[in-house]
Order: sequence, then structure tokens, then C-alpha cells
Amino acid sequence: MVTFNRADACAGTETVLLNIGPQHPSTHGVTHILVELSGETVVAAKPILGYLHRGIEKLAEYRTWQQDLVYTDRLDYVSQIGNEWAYCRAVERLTAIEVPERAEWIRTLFCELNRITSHIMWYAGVTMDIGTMGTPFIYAFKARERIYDFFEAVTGARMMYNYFRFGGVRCDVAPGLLEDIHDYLGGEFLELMDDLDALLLGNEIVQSRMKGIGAFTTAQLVEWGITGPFLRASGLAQDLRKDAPYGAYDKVEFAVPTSTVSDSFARCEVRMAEMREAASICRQVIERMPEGDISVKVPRLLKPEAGEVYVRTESPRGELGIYLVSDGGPKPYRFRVRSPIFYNISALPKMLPGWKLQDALVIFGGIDTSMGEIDR
Amino acid sequence: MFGQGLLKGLGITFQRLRRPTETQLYPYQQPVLPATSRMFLAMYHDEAGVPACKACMTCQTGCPDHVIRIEKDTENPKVPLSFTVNSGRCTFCGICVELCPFSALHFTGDFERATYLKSDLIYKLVDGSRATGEGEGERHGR
Amino acid sequence: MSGLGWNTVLWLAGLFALMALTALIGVYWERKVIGHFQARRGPLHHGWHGLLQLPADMVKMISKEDVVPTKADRMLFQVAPMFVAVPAFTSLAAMTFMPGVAFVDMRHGLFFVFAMQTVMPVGFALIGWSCDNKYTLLGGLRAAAQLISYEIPMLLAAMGVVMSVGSMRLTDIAQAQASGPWFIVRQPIGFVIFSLAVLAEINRTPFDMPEAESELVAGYHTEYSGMKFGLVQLAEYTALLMGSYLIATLFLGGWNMPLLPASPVWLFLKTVLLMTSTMWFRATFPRLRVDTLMEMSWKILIPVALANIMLVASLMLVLPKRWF
Repeated sequence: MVTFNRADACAGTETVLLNIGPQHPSTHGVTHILVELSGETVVAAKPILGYLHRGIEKLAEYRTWQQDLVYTDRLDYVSQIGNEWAYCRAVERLTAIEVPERAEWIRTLFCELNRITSHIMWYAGVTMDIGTMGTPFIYAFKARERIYDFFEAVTGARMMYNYFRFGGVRCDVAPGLLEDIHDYLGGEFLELMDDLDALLLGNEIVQSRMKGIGAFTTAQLVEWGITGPFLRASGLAQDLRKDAPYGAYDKVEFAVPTSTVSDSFARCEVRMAEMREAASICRQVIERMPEGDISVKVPRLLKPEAGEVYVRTESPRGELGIYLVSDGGPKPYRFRVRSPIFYNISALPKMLPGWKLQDALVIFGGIDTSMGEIDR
Repeated sequence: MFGQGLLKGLGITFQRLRRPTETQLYPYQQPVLPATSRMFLAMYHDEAGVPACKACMTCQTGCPDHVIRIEKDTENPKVPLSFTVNSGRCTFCGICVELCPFSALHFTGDFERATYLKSDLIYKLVDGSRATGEGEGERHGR
Repeated sequence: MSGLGWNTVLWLAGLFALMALTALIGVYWERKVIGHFQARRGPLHHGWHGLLQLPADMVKMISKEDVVPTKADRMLFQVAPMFVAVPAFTSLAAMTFMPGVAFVDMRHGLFFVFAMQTVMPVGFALIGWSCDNKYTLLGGLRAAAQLISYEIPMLLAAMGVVMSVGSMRLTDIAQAQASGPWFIVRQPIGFVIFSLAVLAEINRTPFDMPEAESELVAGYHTEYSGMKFGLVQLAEYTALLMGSYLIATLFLGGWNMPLLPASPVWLFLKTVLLMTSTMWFRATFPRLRVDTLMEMSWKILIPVALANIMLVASLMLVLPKRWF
């Protein structure tokens, strides 16, 4: 939808190329978008990728299956557990390893905690994009710090957890800590969420900045290959946790937040609702977590039979797929990541034209990029 | 009514003025880290300084980033002559600690190891078959 | 005051001290206040509660390399900050603190302040143009457009007060509120419009489009470093002081306080309170969109301000003189 394009009406005007990024206050990570402006209206946009390319897919081919697990944390460094889980699931399917019941529940718990921290990162980014001094950012990061404290107590790290193992998780969670998490998510966190809601969704300036901005139809989004909250905000309740359940998702009750409006504001609403849903899933998991083993014995040098596997999971940003090919050796023959953001950001040239520069950054903020995953 | 949300937002920020700040005064106050924290690598040894490492090379082969380098004693293959850690390459994944069949390695809570030279990040846990005691300083936190 | 006596020199020294102190203490105060709004502590390391941050910042600003971009229009680049700074500082001359206590008690003080502020958009446009940088160009043009648009509602809103008082002398305006109620009570619509317009005029959140760091890096002063940046910054804080002072004098009774003796202390407190509340807004609000901003000025504020003038005029005819 193009609101207005006065450029054609003016005689003798020229467009301006403006680099947003790679070093720019509003880009998330090292994104580089080259936009062509006519006045303040975007006429063309082109994302330029590769500033954070570390060659993880190639590195993985030179390391054993277990060693690759370390690298999955570094794919999307905002939702690390989700990547670990996707990779573990792929290898488990390739080698037919059964995961104990308790391990699946623990995995679900930490994946959802990670979904909250990831969405908080999005919240921080989007509030900065629309020009706050960073106050909602810092309030939200308080919750993120608390959740990272839980992660650190269990896994020993704040960001690069390396917590999942093939056939389970590395260590069990102390019952006291589970209670702490349950209490925090049921009380203080929800209070903070109310504040965060009021500062973003309740704010009339935000509404005037976001309502009606970046409105795309479901058909368009599907055609562009968009997944995740961005797609769900258009009314299509596509969520792999429901559609192809894994972990303990089929045993807990949760709703898939959707919206029919499909603009930037709806995307905010969906993500905020997802954070609350994730907190509710975590609480249910803690209440109903079964006892039992947390991992099964897996040979130190894993050699899956030759074959290939593709596993889809729902990362906070969309459909995260891991494609693995094994030639029967101790190292993967091919390790490929279907990163949701890569597909979402690829649609920018189609999304941005026609919008104002300020709107373009709001739409871009709605994608919730994490460059580590795009450039790999 | 327009403006209600704005006023509510102002109220939220105003309330924060009265609450205690969240700032962690890091250089003045050391953070409290959980016992599980993965910081720099250290090795167990007995009082005479004989390292617990038996030079089995599991950690060296298991490390994804080739951080660890063990030199074996040619006469006694179960004793490491030197055990070098290039912590500049280390990603603190903890695979070495997990793999060690003798539980010789452990993490310390020491995280203040910033150096001016990359070469200063290479340190030896075992030198001349004797444990150096590197990294076994005061453990921050509990 | 006659001739260039010691008196004048003292007043000039006072003027410069005021402007430098506002900027320095303003920066420190803003950092502290926003820090506490954000559950942080603000400057803390240097000196008691980070007070030595002020001289440190000053020394840094002065000693920094003064970078001129190769392709910049050198002349304009050097001169442009003056177009912003000089009017901002000069407008301080119109400040009055008590009857008889003033830099210059001008008969058209209010007019003088507005006249000085009209020069500033030129400076912003020049800064934006001279750097040969797209961010500064967009930022400078946005700033110029915004300042020009919001001058009109600001003037129109002040017009109501001027009509009621019958003078443009700032002393008279403040004195008019000594006996009767303040103008915030007499002309609430005028107060709201004037405050909004001042907020936009001094480029503060939610109207800080010109320096919109999320899209334009730092807006019009992206390319400035060292003391030139310092000058622009100084001008911004001076404008903040002047804006708060104007609201305090025009609508909040100036140095008057009900039931208490008039004193410049009240004026100072009101000004500081208003400055702090702009920081509060800055800590809370996101910024508006450029076109919404323009629409707000031309489609809402200006018509309402005109209607306000009509209202004030008709009330002046109907109500007793003491009230209007």
C-alpha cells in the first residue's frame, strides 16, 4: 500500500541514496540497508548482508557432531536455546535417540524463557527505533537480567549456554530454582509486563507512529516467505509449536496470539501477548514437570548413519530449520540453517518502498532482526 | 481520551524515581556469581603440585576451538609435561571440563583477565610436570 | 543603564556565566534526572556523585580535534553554528528577574525574544547544508521546517497574554499576575499551546525529530565535533532555559507566588521545574512522525490558537478588567 508519492509531481527532483548502517544507531547489529529516498519517502531499499559472516555452516563441517553444538548458540545470539534445540532435535532424529520425558520438559521451559528474553530484546530495539531515550529498554532489560540470572545458575553462562545435549540436557535444575522462576514469572514479571504494555501499546504517540504502518496482506506475507510473529499478526495462526508439536508443547495449554490488522502495531501486540503466553507455558511446565532421567547415554564419538534430515522449530523470530546431511562419519557432511530472519529481511525491498523513512524503520523494527542468524 | 496513555506513561516513569536504582557498581562491588559460572580454566593438583591430569588428550581432541595443547612426558606418557591454554580462542563452552575422565579440570570464578596483548592470554596450567596454580585465585561470588 | 560603565560589563559577565552554567549544569542535571527515571544512577565516578563530570566534559569538548569534512563548505561549516548560538544567547538579554532587576528591561522584551528565535532556523538549515552529509541535510531541513511551523502557534498563544496585559515588556506581564490569577488559569488553552510549541521550538522529545538518532544518526550536528558541537549544544540548552523561563513568566506568574512575597527564587524554581519536566518527557516519550508533527502545528495548534485569541478578546469585553 502506498500512501502518497509526491515525487512524480515535482519537476527536476533527484532521489538520494541513504545508507542506514552498518554502523548506525538504529540498526540491530550490523544490518546495512541502502535506501533510496525521494524527499523522506523510500522508493527503493536493499539490505546488504554479510558483515557478521563467520562461516559457521562451513566450520561445522570440520568439527564433530558434539562440537557443532557450541556453534549453534552463536547463530542467533538472542535466542540461543532455540538454536540448540533445533540442532539437537535434528541429530536425535538422524541417530534415533530417544529423549527422556523430564529432559523434554526442561527443554521446553528454557526455550520459553529464552523466547521471553528474545522478545525483550525486540521490545528494547523497537522502543529505541521510535525514539524513546531508552527508558522502556532499561525497564525491560531488568526482566532479561533476572531471567539470565536463572540461566546462569543452571547452565553456567549468561549467553552461550551450551546446555542441551543429544538425548537430554547437561544438568538438572535445582527444585528451589524452579520455584524461584515460577514465582518470578507469576508475580514481578507480570507487573513489569503491565508497565511495558503501558509504555509501548498504551502510548498514543506510539499508536500514531505504528497504526496502519506496514500493513501487508496475509497473501503477500506468505508469498514473501515470512514466518513467525510477523506473519501471525496478519491473522494466520501458523505456529510450529501447535502445528507440529515437539518437546512438551502438546502437553501444555497455550494460545497462539494473532491479530487481523496486520500492521506494525498488531505485530507489537502479538509479541507482547506471546511474552505473556511464554510465561504461562513456563509456569505450567514447572507445575507439571515429571521426575526421571535428564539424559541418555550417547557415544562420545557419534557416527550417525548416512542420510539427511530437516527439522523445523518455532524460534521467536519464525520458522528455524536445521538441515543435516551425514555421510556416516564423525563430522556432518552438510550443516545448513534455514534462518527465519534471512527470509524476512529479504522481503524488505518489497516492504519498504512507499513508506516514509521513519515508517520504514518502524517496519524494519517489526522484523526483529538478529544478524548472527542471517550472516551465520 | 487522547493523552491518557501519555499520562500513564509519565506516571510509570515517575514511580521509578522513588524506587532503588538497578545499577550494579561493578568495579567497586564485585558481582555475586553462581557456582556454576564458566570462567577461566584451572586444574586440580595435590599439595606437592602434582597435577591431576593424566595426559589422556581427551580435552585436546574434544575442544572445538583447539584451545588446549598438552605435551606428554616422553618417558612417562601418563604425565603431562606442559598443559597450555590459549584462552584468547576459548569460547568457555565447558566441553573440556565435561569430558575429562579424571575430573582434573574445573572453572574458576575469575573473569577479570583483560590484557593488552593477545599473547598474555596464553597461560600454562602445567609446566615441567608441575601444576602452576594458574587461575586459582580468589573466587568471586559464592 | 547608560553608556559602557562597569555596570554593563558586570551584566555581560553575568549573561555569559548564566549561559555557560545553564549548559553545563543542564547537561549534568539531565543525565542525573534521566538516569534516575531509568532506574540508573547517572554520572557517578568523578567526584561526589559525578560532579567533576562537568569540568571533564568541558575540557574534553575544548581539547577535541575540530574535524571539518573534506567536502564540506568550509566557510559555511565554520559560521553556521554562530547562526544558532548567537541568537540563542542574545535572547537571554531580555530576561527580567524582578522589577528593576534585569539585563535590559526592554519595552518589547517578548518581541525581542521571538525575533531572535526566528534567526535560528536559518542556522539549522545552513548547518545541514554545509556539511555535505545526507543525515545533516535531512536533520537541518527538518529542524528549519519544524521551527518555522511552531513559531506561529507560539506567537499566537503569547498574543493572548499580550492582549490581556497590554504590554510586551516581560516585567509588566509578570507583574500583571501579581494580584489576579496566573495566566495558566485565565488562559489554559493558550498555556497548553504555548508549552507544546516551546517544546517543539527547543527540539525536545516528543518533538526531537531533527536529531532523531534512530534514523538520522545525530541529525544536523552529526558532523560537528569539539567546540562547534559544544556551541550547538550550548545553544540548545540556552533555548531550553529561555523556553522554560518564558512559560514561567508568561503563564506561571513569574516571580510571584500566592500568599508569599515575590522573589526571583520563585522564578528560578519554576524554570528549573519546567526544565526538569522536559527531561521527564524525554525519559518517557517516543518521538512523533515528521508529517504528524507538521499536521499538528498547521491543522490543530494554529486554528486553536486563533480561536483562543478570539475567545480572549471577547472575554476581555465581557468580563471585568481584573480577570482579563
